Amino acid sequence: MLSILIVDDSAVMRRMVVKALALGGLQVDKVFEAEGGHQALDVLDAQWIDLVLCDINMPIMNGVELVEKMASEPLTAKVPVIMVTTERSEIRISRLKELGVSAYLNKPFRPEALAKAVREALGLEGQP
Amino acid sequence: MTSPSRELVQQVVAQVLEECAFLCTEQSAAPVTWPAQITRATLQFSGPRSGRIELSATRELTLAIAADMLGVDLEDPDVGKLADGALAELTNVVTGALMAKLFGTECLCELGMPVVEHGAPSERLLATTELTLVDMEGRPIDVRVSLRPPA
Repeated sequence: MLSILIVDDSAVMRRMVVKALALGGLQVDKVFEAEGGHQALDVLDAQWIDLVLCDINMPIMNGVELVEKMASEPLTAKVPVIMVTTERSEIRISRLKELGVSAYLNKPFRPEALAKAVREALGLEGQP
Repeated sequence: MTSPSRELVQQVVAQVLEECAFLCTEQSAAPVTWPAQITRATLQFSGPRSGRIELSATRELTLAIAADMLGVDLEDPDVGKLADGALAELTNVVTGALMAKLFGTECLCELGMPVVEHGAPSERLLATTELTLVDMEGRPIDVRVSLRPPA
């Protein structure tokens, strides 16, 4: 059972991520979606989530704030997070890596790159 | 305001359109006729320089972009609902890629939220087509980047 939470304020991008996971050959049993950080925290509180795919540039609570909040809570601190974002700032990437983010993918991304990052974050390398 | 080179902007936009929406584009060789109503997405950014990026497209092309980004047929009911969102997200991705080309990745840049409007083409858009790309079916998409002078 693989359960993934996609956090992005763009409904189009959330759909593209779902499509990319399938094209990348990943069998995802449950996909949850959130439009921003607060909604993502609600999902994380209510559901078992194996991995979070998260944008940065979102209104109200952005992706960096969400990762900081997750890192500060014992229940979410160990949930792997992959950033999927347009932002390329090395300062920001460095800060997110300090917070334990597993990978950082820039949009536009290729489905195989997303699938590889997900497999690595979940320790599934070598599995179909 | 000043602008980055046309070639750089078009290269970035063409690459994003191809990777996000599987659309091949080239610079318009002939004058473009814009319809009475277009869709325009605008995004403000800040960093070493602040400015604004503006993407304008016909409704027809916006729908095609949405269908391609979503991976569905044009007739899918979600295409119309999410067409503005598709142009907004495209603008977001273009801006991120362009800022990395313009300013590098060592600085911190902030992107605003894209704003989508519908209306008549601006006089600026009608006056010049040098920043307009067309897809293989001749549907235009215009990209304008304005940089504020350094503080």
